[in-house]
Amino acid sequence: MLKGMWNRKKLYEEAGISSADSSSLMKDAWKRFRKNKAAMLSLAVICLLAIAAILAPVIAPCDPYKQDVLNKFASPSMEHLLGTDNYGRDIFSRLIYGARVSLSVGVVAEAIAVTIGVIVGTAAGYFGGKVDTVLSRVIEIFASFPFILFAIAVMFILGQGITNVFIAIGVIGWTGHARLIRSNVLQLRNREYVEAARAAGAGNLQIMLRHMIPNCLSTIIVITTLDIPSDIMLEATLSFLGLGVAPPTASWGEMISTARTFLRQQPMFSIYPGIAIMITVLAFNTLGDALRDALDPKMKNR
Amino acid sequence: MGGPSQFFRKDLTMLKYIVKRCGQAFIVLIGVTLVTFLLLNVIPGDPVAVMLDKNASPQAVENLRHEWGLDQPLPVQYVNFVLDALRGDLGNSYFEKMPVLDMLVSGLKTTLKLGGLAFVFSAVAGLFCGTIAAVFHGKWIDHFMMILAMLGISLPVFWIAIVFQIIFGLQLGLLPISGLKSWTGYILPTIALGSTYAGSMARLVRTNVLEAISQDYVKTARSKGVREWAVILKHVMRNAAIPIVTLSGTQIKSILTGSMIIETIFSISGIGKIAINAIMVRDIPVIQGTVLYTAALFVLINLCIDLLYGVIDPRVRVE
Repeated sequence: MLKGMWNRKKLYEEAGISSADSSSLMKDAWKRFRKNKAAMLSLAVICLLAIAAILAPVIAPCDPYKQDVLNKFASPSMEHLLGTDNYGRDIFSRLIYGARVSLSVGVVAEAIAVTIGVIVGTAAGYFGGKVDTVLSRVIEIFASFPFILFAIAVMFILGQGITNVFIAIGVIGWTGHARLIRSNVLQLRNREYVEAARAAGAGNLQIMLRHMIPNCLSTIIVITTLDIPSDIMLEATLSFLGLGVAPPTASWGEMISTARTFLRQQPMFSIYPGIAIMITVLAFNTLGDALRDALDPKMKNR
Repeated sequence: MGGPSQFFRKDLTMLKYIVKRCGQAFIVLIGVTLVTFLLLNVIPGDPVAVMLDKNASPQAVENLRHEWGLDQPLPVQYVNFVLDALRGDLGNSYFEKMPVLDMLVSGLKTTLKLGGLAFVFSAVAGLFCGTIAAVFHGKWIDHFMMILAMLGISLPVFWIAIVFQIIFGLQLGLLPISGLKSWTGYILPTIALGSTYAGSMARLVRTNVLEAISQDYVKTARSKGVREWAVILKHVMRNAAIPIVTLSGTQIKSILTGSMIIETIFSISGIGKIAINAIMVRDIPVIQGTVLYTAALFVLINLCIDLLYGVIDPRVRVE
């Protein structure tokens, strides 16, 4: 980690000139990104997942909530591609609807986490001194709670439901972002262009919004992409424990949890949602790694 | 150059760093108690109502509230909570009728045993797979190891656990799928819990080994005629082992968190299963105790890691 920070420092010193022309920096990054086959594949997978999630009612062959008691644990057939579950509901359709939950958690919960993280991190790094001391301790306090235990406790207080899942995951997931942004801003705040902006009469808020956050953008993009998989995993875990989305909403974690009771009747029932989670997580991880390589070529394997 | 005075100054910065870091950890601990206390005071439902049955007289409810100090103002309750926690007195479980501390201690023993095994497994497997992959860089075995590592990282721990239960427990009937009655009971939970970290460890070790292989000291050793396996063992792996130290801090924490789910799946009565059970039945003293003590444990782990960094890297001390 120390090595990564060192690289980052060097990187910013060298990128100091070119970052003034950010459009060419982004163009270069896109060129590097396009050459990476795994990255393009993962992007395609994520696009497909997003389309499936948005168009779920159109794509899904059956109603994911329609129960058919006479047709429990049906084997895969033309009518039910992956068979049916313990209520006779179509597993394939439920998988497609599950993508909605997972991706929306990835987007919304992460948006909450990034917003809090960027605000706290920028403020701590920019103002320094007492503000930094206080905010750093707040970050440390929240980082001290075991992620899952805290999320479980919050879900327990708020009750089941997807909105509450967003809140629970967003409220605990920001500490890592805040730390990284803080150390970035610490290095940026004494730059000449910041002094120039201040001399030109720019206020603190303006400097933070116009100079600090845009300069941290590539870091923000990378950490957001790399954090989405852990949010998706956490939602699956919460739903697996029965503290996530409320039934009968289809969620991959909830499906695995239900399937667990019927391991003997239909072992494959528990396999499919796991594969769905794996594909999604793998795609986001690969995309995040590729984005990091493309945006910050010097900080590989941080 | 050097001399006793500089030596003394060096020690002083270290001492200053230790004192400062301990002070910070203390403040964080206070924050942790405050957050835990507030978190559990907004839990819906009167704990007393959960405890007593519906037709209990109002007088009985009032007595019980008084007994637990629930009728006092919040700040007073908070101070009492902190003082009790310092004394190690976390009250009694509403349901188990035994001191929370006893439950936590027995749970923590099990969790640490399981977590320790999982940590050792992930470190050994990660070091082994990562080194093999790097030595056979670009060959099929490298690709195979990296696919395995990616699977470990991308699959949910609870799913891996369930698949293990299906394959080794139900289909093959080789290993027990619940409890820790004999040593065989440890195998599946250990591997399931360690798989994620073994994956990330393997990837990190692979990059480090690849980096180390191209270093001058390795070239020197090779040119001196040292055998290839001796080069790998002596020069390359020693350097590649450093990430284990750096990763171990975050790993220990992740493993402790991950064990909560694994314990639930394999019905192992560790601290995770105790916490999740307590949340399901609204056993507030137990929830409070587990959240508070695991968070305090994490603060201590962080402190130890930071102090270690201070010893290893002098730059950290003056920051």
